[in-house]
Amino acid sequence: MLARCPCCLTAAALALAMNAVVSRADDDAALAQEAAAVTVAIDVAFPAAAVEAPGGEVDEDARLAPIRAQYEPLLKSGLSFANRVCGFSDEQRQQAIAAGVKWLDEFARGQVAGNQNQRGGLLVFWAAAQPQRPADPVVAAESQIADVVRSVLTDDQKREYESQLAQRAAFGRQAIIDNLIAKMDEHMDLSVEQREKLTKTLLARWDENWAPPLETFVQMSQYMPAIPDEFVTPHLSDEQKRIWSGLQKVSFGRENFGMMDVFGGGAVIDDIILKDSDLKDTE
Amino acid sequence: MWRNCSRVRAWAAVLVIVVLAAGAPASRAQNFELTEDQFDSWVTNGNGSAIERIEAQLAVQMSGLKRTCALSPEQDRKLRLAAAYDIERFQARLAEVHDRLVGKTYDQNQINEVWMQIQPLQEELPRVLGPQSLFNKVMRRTLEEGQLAGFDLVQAERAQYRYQAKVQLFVTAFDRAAPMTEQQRIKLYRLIVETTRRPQRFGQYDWYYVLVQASKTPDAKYAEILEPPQVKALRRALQQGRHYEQTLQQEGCVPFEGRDPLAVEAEAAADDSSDGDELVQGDAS
Repeated sequence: MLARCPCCLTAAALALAMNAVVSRADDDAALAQEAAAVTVAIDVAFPAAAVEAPGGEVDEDARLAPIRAQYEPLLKSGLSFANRVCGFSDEQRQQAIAAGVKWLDEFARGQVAGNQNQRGGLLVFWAAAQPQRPADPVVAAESQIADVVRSVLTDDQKREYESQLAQRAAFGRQAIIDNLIAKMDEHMDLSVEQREKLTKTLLARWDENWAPPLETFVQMSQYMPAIPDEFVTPHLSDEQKRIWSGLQKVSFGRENFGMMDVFGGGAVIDDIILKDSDLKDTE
Repeated sequence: MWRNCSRVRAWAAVLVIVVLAAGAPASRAQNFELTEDQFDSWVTNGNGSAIERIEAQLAVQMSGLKRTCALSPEQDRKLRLAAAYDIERFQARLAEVHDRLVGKTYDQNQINEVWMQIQPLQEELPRVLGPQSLFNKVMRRTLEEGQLAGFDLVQAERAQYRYQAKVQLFVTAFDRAAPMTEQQRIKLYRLIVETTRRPQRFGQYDWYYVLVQASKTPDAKYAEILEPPQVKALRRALQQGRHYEQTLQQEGCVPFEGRDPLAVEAEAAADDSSDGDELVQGDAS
């Protein structure tokens, strides 16, 4: 678990305040309960802040290390996926690892620079108030890791890689939709036909901007994620609409490490090793 | 519209934080008065009035029953009477706690105590018409055999859907930590669904229930689908559930026991199909 930096606390407070505005739960105890839950999801979002050396100078390695440590599992997982679906040759494997390590270093530097810009506090408010979802560093990292992978693949491998990436995304999407509908069913006793119609609508109207992150269903399973009413109510009876409108819905932050953290980080595969010895082989 | 809404909410959030930061409500936090609305909100987790919630739940359950069982007017009357009894009983408990707590002022140290008295009501609320209710008992006695079988089948389908969604969730989570090919993903999902049973009762620990159940499948089965580093990662992931076994037991989150209505239905469908085959063969001869 990362150290809690001011950004994390601000983000948690912001998310908490947003929940307070969105929902009708304006009582102190309910907010306190939600604060605890929201903080769990968000406090892994940002790396620890810069570390100052005893002399007051900023220690560069100490500043980058937590970010590298945070994103390394994502890199390992991304390379492991590519290796599994494309079958890297030894040379490709070494090239991918070297490019990945280089990317990790650059990404960590970029994150540190970004966090420093945010430290004033007002920028956080400004970013949160924008209509667009704020840039998600994990999504950005995944996309950049995929680019690293593509750079070492042959054309045939690229085709297989893209196809497997799409199937993987579809599986995850279906898991979120099925869990959403199961959650609705818990409250509203849906018929099989209603479940099918809701599945169809949610798949057709799928958008990451409203979709709850998968970890919502693990870490905050007692809450109903906020889904646009227009996707749901056309498929409900009048009695069900009454229940739906009375349910407290919560919007969840997306900037976290999500499903890797639900296993405490311990389950990340270790078939890609990013140690110095690997890198020396590539030089 | 959705985006505009987000903008308004976000700016409102900024306002709330500024007010909080200014320390304006500090005195309110020290002396807390439990109002009617706050009491309701605590009981229903912010979902309106408790009794309205139960009545809406009853309407949905009755509608589901009619859809599945085609209730007679007499059955309908008996069920509503039983539900009224359950609601009244809950209402009495609600009123008792309400009268004890609402309209009084508490300091910060007492809030937890107040919450401890309200929390059991919040936990009980979704179960007022649940398996232990008079409503449920009367329903099981009032429905005819065929109606009850139909009802149990629908409940089993819903529970299985919910369980399979949780298994999908686990497979997706594991896939992020230890990536799989599409084929491996689907096979792992099927293996877990086929080698485990849905819980007798769902709750807030469903995720851990899946981990515990999946951990009981031998590694050799997983090794037929996954590569050794993936099996190793899976074992580490599943270990997380070990600490929850006792809690799951206490919560009644144990594997479904008895004759599964889904299995009965599948057997009946298989019998129908083989009868049909015999008829076809008989006609041919």
